[in-house]
Amino acid sequence: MKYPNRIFGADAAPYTSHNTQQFPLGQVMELPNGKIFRYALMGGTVGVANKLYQAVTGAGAWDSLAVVTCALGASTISLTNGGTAITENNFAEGSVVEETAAGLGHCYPVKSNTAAGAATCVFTLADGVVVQNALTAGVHTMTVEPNPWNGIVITTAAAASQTAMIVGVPLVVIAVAGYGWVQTHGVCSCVVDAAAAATPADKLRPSEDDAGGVALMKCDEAATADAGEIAWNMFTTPDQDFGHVFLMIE
Amino acid sequence: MNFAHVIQGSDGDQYGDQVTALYPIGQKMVLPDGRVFRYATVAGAAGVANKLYQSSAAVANWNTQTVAVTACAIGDSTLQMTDGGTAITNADEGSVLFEDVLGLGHIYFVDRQQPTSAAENPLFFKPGVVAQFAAATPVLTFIKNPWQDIIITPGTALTAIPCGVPPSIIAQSDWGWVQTMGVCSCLLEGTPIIGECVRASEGTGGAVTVQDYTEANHADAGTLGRCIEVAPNGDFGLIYLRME
Repeated sequence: MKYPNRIFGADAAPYTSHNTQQFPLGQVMELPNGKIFRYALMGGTVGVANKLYQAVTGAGAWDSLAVVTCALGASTISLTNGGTAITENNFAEGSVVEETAAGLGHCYPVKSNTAAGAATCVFTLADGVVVQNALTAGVHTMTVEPNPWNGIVITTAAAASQTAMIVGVPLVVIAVAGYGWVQTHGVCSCVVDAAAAATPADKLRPSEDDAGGVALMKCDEAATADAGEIAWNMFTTPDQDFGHVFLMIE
Repeated sequence: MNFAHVIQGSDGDQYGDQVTALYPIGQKMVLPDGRVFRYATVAGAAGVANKLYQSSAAVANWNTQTVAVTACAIGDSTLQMTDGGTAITNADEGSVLFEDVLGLGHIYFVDRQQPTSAAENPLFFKPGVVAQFAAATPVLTFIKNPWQDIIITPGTALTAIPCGVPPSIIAQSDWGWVQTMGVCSCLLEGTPIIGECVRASEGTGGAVTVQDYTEANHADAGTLGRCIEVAPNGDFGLIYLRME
């Protein structure tokens, strides 16, 4: 079954969550007022409403995997897995990218994958997608990433740096391993780390002190500014309270 | 009446203004080349074309309020809140948020406002939306839609988020379209570098200026586009707006 590229949802839609998957991960939904949401799978901790979420931290175990020789036009790619087992369809709706310069950096969407220990794992590409240049064992390596909205977790309070890309703010509690919508664009509520007060029209970034929070973006602030802006601040909010922000994750 | 989520507009639709609202505030329109516009109403003074506008400043009295008359229970589709002495007006398409930790941050968007006696401010949620949580002592903050009562950026620090550039004059209290994304003409201050980011100017009302990330405080206003073509200081130049 094919889903529309973009669902035009009703205002009540993002307040729903599901025990079973209803849409592809990362499915885009837009509301009448221009707010945008993505369909996500909650990770191993019960979700918290109106706090910032990120993708699951990359394990690194599936970086730079050796390819099995693969012809131009193939619809599957086989990689030799390392020591961390891959479960069946763990990377469905994710992506596989040609890492080596000789491979030209092609990125392919993954439809499904087999289970694999330290052995060959077969990745089937999305319908209609085929390998754009031949891959040679011993020459090319590829890195596999799950869909950003697969197994999301609350953002970490990481002074040094974020650990994965920011993916959105859920409006309601999404159960462990449940499915629901996270907002990526438009007027939103989010908890505010106001240790440094943000005034209206300031830009906001992920907080390094409060998990799930946003904080003032000081462009000249070493390290923490590098997390990047993700929203406009709309109101001066007391520290640790929830405030109006205009999300611009996408 | 339901409107399309996104109006697929034709070139030319973005010009002009209307004395009565034809669309909901904040209605989105996309033109064939991908430029994005939002439907807005202008406050304060007659609009000026091709200059940067911001939302109206949030009203301090609508911050940290509480429910009026009756509590907001789970499943309710309306909410009445106190207003700190300033009656809530032009609430349609605005939003009310449960601010404190106990309120869990729930936010609800306003479909319409029911006029009634002072200090009760009944707000109706969007169709199908109901209260998700009943806070014992709710702390509420209301703000208008970002495209309600927009004003030209002041030429000092912004007092609300930037919200777009109107391609033609919108008379005071009238409605019209402001551009939020795509190739756009806007007043320039200073000398932006082609390809580099611009932000709202703190020196010239309605203008954009160079985004210098090493510049304390002013840089924090954040980028709102990239420079395509550099015009003389004080003239209009081309930028690629990226306000949403």
